Amino acid sequence: MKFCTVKQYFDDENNNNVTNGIATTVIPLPNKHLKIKANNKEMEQYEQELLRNVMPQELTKLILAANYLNFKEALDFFCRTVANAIQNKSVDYVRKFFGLESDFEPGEEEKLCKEFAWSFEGVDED
Amino acid sequence: MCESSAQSMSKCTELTLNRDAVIDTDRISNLPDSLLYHILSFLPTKEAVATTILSKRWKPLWTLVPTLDLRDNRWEKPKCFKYIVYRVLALHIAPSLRGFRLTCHSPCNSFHLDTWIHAALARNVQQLHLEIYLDGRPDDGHDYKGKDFKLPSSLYTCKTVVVLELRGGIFLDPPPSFQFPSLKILRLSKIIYGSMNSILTLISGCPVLEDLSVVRVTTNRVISFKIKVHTLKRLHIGFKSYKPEPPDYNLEIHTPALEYFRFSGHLRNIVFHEKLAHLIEARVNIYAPEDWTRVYEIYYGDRVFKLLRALNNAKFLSLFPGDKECIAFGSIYPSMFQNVVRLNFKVTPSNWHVLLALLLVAPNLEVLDLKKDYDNENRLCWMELPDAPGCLSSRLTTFNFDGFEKLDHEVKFVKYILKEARALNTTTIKIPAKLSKEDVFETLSMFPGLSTTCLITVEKGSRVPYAP
Repeated sequence: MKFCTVKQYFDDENNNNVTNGIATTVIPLPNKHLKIKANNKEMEQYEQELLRNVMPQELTKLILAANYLNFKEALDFFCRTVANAIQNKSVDYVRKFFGLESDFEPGEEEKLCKEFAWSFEGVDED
Repeated sequence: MCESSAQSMSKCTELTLNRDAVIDTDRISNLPDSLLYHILSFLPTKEAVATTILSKRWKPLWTLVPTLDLRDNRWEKPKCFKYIVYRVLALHIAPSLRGFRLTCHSPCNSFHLDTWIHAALARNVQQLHLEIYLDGRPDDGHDYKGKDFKLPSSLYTCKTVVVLELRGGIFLDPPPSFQFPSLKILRLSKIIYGSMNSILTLISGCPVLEDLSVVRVTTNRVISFKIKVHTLKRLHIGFKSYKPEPPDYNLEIHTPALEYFRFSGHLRNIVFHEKLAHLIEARVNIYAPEDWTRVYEIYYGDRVFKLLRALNNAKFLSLFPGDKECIAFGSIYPSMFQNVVRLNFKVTPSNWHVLLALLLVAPNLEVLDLKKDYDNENRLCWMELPDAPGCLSSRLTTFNFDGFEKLDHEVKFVKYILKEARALNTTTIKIPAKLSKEDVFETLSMFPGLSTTCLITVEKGSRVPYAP
């Protein structure tokens, strides 16, 4: 059920960016997931360990792979990880994490800051 | 350059990726909009809104995230919360809501809450989580005694809700004939019910309910209620009490399709009217501390075994039968636990006999995992190990004992297992810091009849709180 798109993936020639390296991370997930599905704590630990070795850039590829393979649990997990990584962090930190630069007109950013001041409260130290 | 490739990618959620995108796929923000919404949907709304300032592309993203998670914690400025919620609801334009979570710990007027819930219902919300205390959430460990929030009647006509979670000072009083045609998961935690039939009325209107969790705080009166759902696969029942002597309750359960059962709290009268033929996993954590001496104690053993007998089809069993001396022991017979392959058991000196009774009727057990509460070492423990050989499962391959303190009865038990479990290949004994690994290991290795193919490991274990 989880692997209906896997065969298609291997046959499809356009998939250069979903490399084999990613596949080896994503594909064993269902088995592990099913095996320890009963115990949430174990799953969390496994996932934490897995992600300690993965760089933010890799996460992009993992998300795309999980999305393509229609693997909901993995997609949710990787997205949640990105969300956890940026939660409570300063704007500068998040920009760095995503590799973004501010492209606002002068003054626009200050306006937004004022308008949504309440959302910037309670941020961690960088 | 970044933006144009991002926009062309936003047209496709599947993988026929634009070649241009290959160069920049290392950057998370080059994911298509739909995947960015998905990431933001895991953040509390406050955090999602903060991403508006990241860049031009990110500015409008939060307004289209299909979830809203609005939290008001007591220590933040409560006056602001109302304004923030109204503002968010006005600016947020996602046409339908996958999830709406509202957590209100500060005092709040029910007029606002009604309005906000209406807004969610109007957007075809699928997952609705409400935690409300009209007079403010009490500090931890205390019962909420304030006014209860009456759910708006429009909630009872919601056709789209698939997951509903209600916690706190919420008053549930469903009209006699109503339907939640899509509801699959229902979680009710410490809320107030209009009548004893409220739960039954509610779940009778849920034709596809699969997962039910009911945690009740016991009050002064005797509670009687029924859970009758032929589609139910997962059930969690919890009875908490803030009194030392919770009153009786009568719970009748009709759930023939049940696969997962979890019970936590005070055990009184629970009757299963149909055999749980599809049961896969059962987790039972009975709260029964040793120092109570009340009249209910007399029936305690009977109640424990009655509940266990109903769960005898389980493959995975996790059990803490409480720490109470049983005056009447009850019996697990004639039930056999043919399917049990894994047993997690929390031992205290009062309940070893329950463990032993189970081991005798579990002929296919493969994994036995014992955890012990360190505080109970000084009590007398009654344990009668079977004399005859062949009583223990011949398939037992793994035995773990966390909390071994070399007490007499523990040594006796470990010796018994190591000798009788002919298929045993892994044993892990966790000991507290005060004991020496070498000393324990030497004791174990002197047991007669030790199998040469069994790997025995002795480790220092930290005390792990039991969470069934």
